[in-house]
Amino acid sequence: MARRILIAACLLALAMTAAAQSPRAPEYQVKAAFLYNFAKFVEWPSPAFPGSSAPFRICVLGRDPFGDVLTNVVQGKSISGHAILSMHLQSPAEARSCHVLFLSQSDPETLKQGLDRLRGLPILTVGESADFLALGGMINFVLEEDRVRFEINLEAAERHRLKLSSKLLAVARLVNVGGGAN
Amino acid sequence: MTVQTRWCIPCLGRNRQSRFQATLALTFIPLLLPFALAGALLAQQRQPDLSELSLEDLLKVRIISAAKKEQDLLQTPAAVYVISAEEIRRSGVTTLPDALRLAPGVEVAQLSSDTWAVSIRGFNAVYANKLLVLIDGRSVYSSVFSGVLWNEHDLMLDDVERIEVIRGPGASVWGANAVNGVINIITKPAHETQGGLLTLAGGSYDRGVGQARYGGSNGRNLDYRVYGKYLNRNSLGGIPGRYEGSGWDMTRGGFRTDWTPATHDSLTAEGSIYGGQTGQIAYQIVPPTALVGPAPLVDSKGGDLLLRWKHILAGGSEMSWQGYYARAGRGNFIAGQNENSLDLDFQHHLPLSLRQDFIWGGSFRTTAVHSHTVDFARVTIDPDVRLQLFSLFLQDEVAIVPQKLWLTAGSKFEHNDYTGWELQPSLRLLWKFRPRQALWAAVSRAARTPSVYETSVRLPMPAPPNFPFAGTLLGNPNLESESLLAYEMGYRVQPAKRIWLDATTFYNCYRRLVSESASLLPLPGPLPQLLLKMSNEVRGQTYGGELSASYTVSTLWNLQGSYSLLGGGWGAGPGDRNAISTFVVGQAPRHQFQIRSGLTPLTGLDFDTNLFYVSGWPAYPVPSLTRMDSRVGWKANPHLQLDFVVQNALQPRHTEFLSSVFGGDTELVKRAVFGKITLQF
Repeated sequence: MARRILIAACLLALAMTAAAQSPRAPEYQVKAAFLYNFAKFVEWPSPAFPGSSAPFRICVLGRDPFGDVLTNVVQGKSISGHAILSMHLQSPAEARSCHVLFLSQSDPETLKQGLDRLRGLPILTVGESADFLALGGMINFVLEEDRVRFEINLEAAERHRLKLSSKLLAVARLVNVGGGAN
Repeated sequence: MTVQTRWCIPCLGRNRQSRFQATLALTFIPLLLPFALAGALLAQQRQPDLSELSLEDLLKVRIISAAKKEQDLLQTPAAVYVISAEEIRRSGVTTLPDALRLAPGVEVAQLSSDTWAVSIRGFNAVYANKLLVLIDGRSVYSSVFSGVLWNEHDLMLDDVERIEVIRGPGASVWGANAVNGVINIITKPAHETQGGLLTLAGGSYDRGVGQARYGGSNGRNLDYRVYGKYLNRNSLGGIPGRYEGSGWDMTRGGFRTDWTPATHDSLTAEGSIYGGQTGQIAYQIVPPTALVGPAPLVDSKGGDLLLRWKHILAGGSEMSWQGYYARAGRGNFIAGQNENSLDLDFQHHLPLSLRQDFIWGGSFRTTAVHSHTVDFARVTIDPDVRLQLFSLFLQDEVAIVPQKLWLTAGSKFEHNDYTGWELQPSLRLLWKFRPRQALWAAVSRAARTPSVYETSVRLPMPAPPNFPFAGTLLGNPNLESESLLAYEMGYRVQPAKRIWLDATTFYNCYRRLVSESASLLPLPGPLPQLLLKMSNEVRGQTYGGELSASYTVSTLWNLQGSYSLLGGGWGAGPGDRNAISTFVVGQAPRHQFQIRSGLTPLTGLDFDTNLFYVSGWPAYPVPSLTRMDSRVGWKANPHLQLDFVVQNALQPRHTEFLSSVFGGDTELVKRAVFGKITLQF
């Protein structure tokens, strides 16, 4: 018994001498930071902003997994002079003035309906569903070994007149929707 | 019945001594705890502002998901099988116990339309007392008679996300009674059940089952569902000349709400109420013996309400608080009982570093049981019992060699009113020696605590047929916990992308099994009286293993199979040569084998066949059984699904279980045919 207590004590001691933390964060805090980062590495066509003081909008459609995290991330930040504003939408019809649109995990049918409504608009669509790129989305988050990665459908982005910087493309996995990963 | 065995060599600890030791340990824990807490708080460093990180750095951040993800099976140092929602759907089963047949090594035997004996690694009985069952974190194991009444938990199976079946002790985390295994039934989060669902089923056996569910949301961070289910089932036909059998009639309604007010916080509220008629009174008043007899139907009603809050702290540790209230009432004019429990649970999960994962928690449960019997039944049980349970657990997972070798050590320290402190430690080692291959080994101790029934019952038993005694069964308030020391080993490999193999083996050493010590009383009467007093005089050991494999032949065809072996023996310990173990050692078949095929020949069309083989039972005259269930499913369009199911296709009727050597026969399980329509909108 004494031995068992000793083992327990050792375990606790081990626990206390924990090494420095590796960066860890809740999933949507990481994803929110990515959304802000994407905005820095994408170029929108000029008609996307009605004026120089118009805000840059990051929108969330459907279920909002971010809570106040996204608002906190973008607060006080700006993208080439445009103050960033985050907002939550109930329907894709409200998305016209958005620059980045996050569509949370949903069934393919709902996603398809949402993406179809945005056809031709210069909006960077970001999702987190298995079929997202195949349905016409541009950037999709995937979880790999506890880390957030993302894949890009470059063709869809170009079709919507968005220019993705090479820096973004370098760290992403490029997916050719017509035929598997490049 | 009593089999003599050689005693397992390494059973540790003697009764009295170990209780003293446990107390000793418990006095140390409060002293050590503040240090652990200090460590925990030190780990709560300030969160870096992620938005300032570069893309490359963001890619390196490890995430903690509020919804705890399924652990990679290759990295689990325990014998685990997860039954997925898809497997449940494709099997065509309509009840939880039938769904459990899908997992390797689970022993499921049906006795009547609403009664099953379910266990893992032996000791199977109607009130299999070494298997802990939880639904969304709520224990449904009754402390009145140590077992699970499956007919009170006819969940809507479409809402079940997965069933985690853990073979072997889980007591170091889950506490007492998780001796031979743990079954975790987990329902889908509300956002996965949005929209409307209506199912109607009927057939030769299930006269009518109707389910309706509606799920909605505020479009943002709150989702909910409400559901109702009605089930009406035929009797299996009774036992000719003795028992006419009874059906099962149950109505259930419930809800679940998931709310994520912020990314750090998630709240779940869920509850249900049920009411109906079951046919189990004979089993209920005499659980372990489970005598079958003509008995009036039982009215069952109850409900539960659960709240859970998960909060992620800066620094990445996760805290979770859970509380639930559950109430179950059952009875007829002969006997009945009401159970009310309140349970509070706290857990703190601290990923201390890349190499260490620490979890600790505590819980408190209070249960009030009121029982009644009429005089002529001559059965008595303590009419009012109030039980309290409190516990603390610690577990640390250390990566000794990162990505390769892990050690998990932990223990539950639990106090119950009958036996005091129970110490239930476990030590597990996992070695992932190749990217897709892992070996694990574990040693653990688990305890099964006495029930209200075992400590207080007084039951006169009429002389059974062909038995020259009348007897009285007497509970014993001084019963000790049954204890298990388990040694397990396992191997998992994924030799190719589509093939998965899992092998486990175990050696279980039981001490102080509850038994009946017999003495003859020279009482007046036509027959001699046999007094059976409950005691802890039986020891036993079991051994065996499970082998399971899955093979995805193509995207259209999936094959799964498993085999399990169980052997063992038991006998009276040196203390009491009169101990008999007829009631304690519910057994299980020696061999079980299953093969399942899921075929999708055309889009929307499923064809599934499950074949089960169960060998004869060593002690009871239950013959071997081959059972085949088939299902054809057709998804006509996104809104309409049609299913046609045949259960027990191979023979018109068969025996799955015998209630006890005294009780004689059980009902025969019949071939059943039914159809199901599912509408989704």
